[in-house]
Amino acid sequence: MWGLAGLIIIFPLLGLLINLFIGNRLSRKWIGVIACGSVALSCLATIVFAVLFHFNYPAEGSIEANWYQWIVSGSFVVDFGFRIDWLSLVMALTVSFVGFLIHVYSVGYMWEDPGYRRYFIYLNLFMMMMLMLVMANNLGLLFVGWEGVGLCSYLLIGFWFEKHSASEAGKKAFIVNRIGDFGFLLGMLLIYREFGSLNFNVIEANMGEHVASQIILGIALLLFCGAAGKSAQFPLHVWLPDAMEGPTPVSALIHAATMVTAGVYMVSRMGFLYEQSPYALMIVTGIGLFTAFFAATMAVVNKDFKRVLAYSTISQLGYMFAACGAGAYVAAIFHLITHAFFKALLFMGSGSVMHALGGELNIEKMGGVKEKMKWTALTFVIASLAISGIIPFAGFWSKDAILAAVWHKYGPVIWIIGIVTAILTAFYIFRLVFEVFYSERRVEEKTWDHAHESPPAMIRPMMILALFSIIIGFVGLPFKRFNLIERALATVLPVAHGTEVSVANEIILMIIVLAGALFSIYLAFTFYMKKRNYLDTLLASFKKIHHVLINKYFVDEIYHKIIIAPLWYVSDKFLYKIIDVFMIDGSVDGIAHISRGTGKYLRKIQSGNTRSYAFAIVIGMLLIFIYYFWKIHKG
Amino acid sequence: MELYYYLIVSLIVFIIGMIGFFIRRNLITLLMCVELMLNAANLALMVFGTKWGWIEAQAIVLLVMTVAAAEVAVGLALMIVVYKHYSHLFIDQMTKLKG
Amino acid sequence: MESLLFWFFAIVAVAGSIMVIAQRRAIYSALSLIIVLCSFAGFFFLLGASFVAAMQVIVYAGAIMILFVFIIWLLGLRTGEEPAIKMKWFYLAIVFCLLIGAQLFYIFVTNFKEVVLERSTDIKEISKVLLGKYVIPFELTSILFLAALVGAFYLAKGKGKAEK
Repeated sequence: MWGLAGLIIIFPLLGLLINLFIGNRLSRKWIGVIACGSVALSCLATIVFAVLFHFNYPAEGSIEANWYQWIVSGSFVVDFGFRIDWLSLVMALTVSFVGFLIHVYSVGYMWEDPGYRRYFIYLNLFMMMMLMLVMANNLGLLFVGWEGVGLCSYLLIGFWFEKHSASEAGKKAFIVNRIGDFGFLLGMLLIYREFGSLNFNVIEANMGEHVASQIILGIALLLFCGAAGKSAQFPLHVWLPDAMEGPTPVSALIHAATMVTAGVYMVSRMGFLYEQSPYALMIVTGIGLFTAFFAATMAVVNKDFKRVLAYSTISQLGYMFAACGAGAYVAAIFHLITHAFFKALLFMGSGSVMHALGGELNIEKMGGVKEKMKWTALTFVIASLAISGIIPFAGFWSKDAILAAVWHKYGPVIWIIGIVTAILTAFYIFRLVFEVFYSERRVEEKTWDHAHESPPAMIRPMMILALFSIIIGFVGLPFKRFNLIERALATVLPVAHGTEVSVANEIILMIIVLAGALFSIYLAFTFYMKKRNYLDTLLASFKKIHHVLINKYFVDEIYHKIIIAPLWYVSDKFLYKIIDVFMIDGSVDGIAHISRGTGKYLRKIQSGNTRSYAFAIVIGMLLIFIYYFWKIHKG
Repeated sequence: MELYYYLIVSLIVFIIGMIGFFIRRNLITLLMCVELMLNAANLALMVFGTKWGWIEAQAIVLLVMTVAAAEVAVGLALMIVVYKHYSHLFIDQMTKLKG
Repeated sequence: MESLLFWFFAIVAVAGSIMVIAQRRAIYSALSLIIVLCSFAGFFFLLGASFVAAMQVIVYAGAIMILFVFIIWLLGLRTGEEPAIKMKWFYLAIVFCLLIGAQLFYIFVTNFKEVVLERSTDIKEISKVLLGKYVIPFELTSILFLAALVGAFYLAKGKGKAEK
């Protein structure tokens, strides 16, 4: 029965195949129905399996369903198999549900686009790969999904490939991800060498054997390298802001809700390994929190609507890694889920605004959009409250869980970075809210006349997501009895024991976070609504910092200087001029000349007379016989 | 009867076949010479098989015979094509492959 | 008795072979070849392989040589009016052939002179080998046969239909 869990992956594949092979004969409506329907079916299948799993809960907490042996090479065996446990089910549920809503939204968003069918084929392929990633029972199959979503990300970022910047952004995402994947692959090989298998269960079972702690650290860091590439952590974060060149629903689905969280999922999945190495945990938290803060500062000044959201995504992913590093994997996954809902909603809101304003992205040319787009504004505000961590919206509970874990594990100093980032988060997100929706109108008259609320296909998914952004947090209330998510995931993920923060402490921490968020919302309100002239004075006094921030800390420029430019130089001056032109071309041409020269003489042997060929055979035979005679008589 | 008499006979037939290949110019006769050589080799194989009591030799001889039949069938079909093309079968006049 | 038969077959085989290459007309060559093949069947019989001997007569002397005769008749190669040989190295080729023969002769005489034959075979053994150990090669030859059949048919048919 559990083998049928593969259906969760098969449905998007079927949708993809139908649209691929007979999609050109279908109307736009039917293409949309098939694409959305297939994802809806896999969402339903996930729910069915979750219910079945709940009622047939196995003692060991997980079920493996192998379809067949995919790679067999000596002792190296990779199964095509699924693992069903609460972690994979929760992830699959989030992915397929948010994915379904975004599919519906896309029908409205992409309706006019000539690449409508291609778009949905890619999107279904993405769903299939992402679900494969979360359902896989071994690192090998996980890697297939991992690379598959990377491919889809590339295809969808460069969806409007006739635009130069889009195709460049696609390439950038692909190449930066490759760097991470290289680390991941090495990590996998090392795991195979040490544990003899890629299956999660086997690795975990062999964990107790003597493996040097340096090797564990190496594996953990290599895997984290892959996770950092996929989840856009410093220093591999550069691709995500550029990925915003793709269609907005893609940004919502791939670059906010699902794909980029694959890194967090993978680190949580391998949590039992990270637990063995305190240094690795420290590095994960360090990179996570640093990225969270670093990206948040860039989000504060950026003027591009979607890029602000992209930096926000990087920052929130940083939070998740910080939680992983603090041993609070449950909190990381919890934040992953809530983030999927409200960040998808934020992106949908930005897409809705872009749709109305004719593709405008500069927030300085917006303002007052609320008048025309009531529902978009409302849902966007709900999502903003959720991400800022205002009680009782979803983000509050998950962020609080993370900060409490960090406090407990690394103490107040590290915790302060988290708090500052939370405050910055509230600030930049409400900066967007006020700039775009509530401040005085700065939109050009002509665009303004065309502005309109988006079609129901776009608004309704947003409403549903808004509802979930409010209520999803209640599955993880910070009190043991009500913490459903922790009760479910603790069966799979390692839980640090004795980390219960006392109730009083917990409430104090909550109040601090809440106060910080409210304060920065007030700050944003002052700057962007009441006293806009404050802003100019502020800019004038912090000109240098602003310059650094708006240029994204010059990371792209640094990469260009230290990696791309030398590479370019070596390629041009040495590889091209010397190796290629002189050595390779020279030798190839030389060989050609030699063969032509010898051929000119050798062709005379070919008389075309059959008997002369037979004669040659006879001579050959004779020589062989002579050789053997000589050999026999010698020895 | 001593074994090597058989070998000598097969050797003589083989050499005759080989010489025939050089002195004849008709394609069909050449094919017959090839058959002669093949049979001589077959006989030699059989003789050695008998000597070492190696029963597989007989099986292989049978296989060789079938392969030879296939070869002759294709060879003769080719001859028909050649004859249609040149209206003769003299091998010295077929030098299309001259380099 | 046995050596008498052997000498009879040996003389027939060698003389027949010479006839094959000496006859000017192809049809005579073919008939001589049939005689040679039959005498080879006799050798097989003397060596104790009666089944192979029977096959030699049926397959070779029967089926294959019929093909030869048919083709000769079909193409109407009545006379052997062959153009004269122009190549001087042709004598050299014959010399080389004889040299190879001499070498082989030497090897046979030095190595196998004193060896006496022992023979004991029945058809059951062959079938066990042919349909047991060598069943795959055996089946493969039948596929080869089929391929040869189709190939020969296609070649001999010519381009007739395609050009119409």
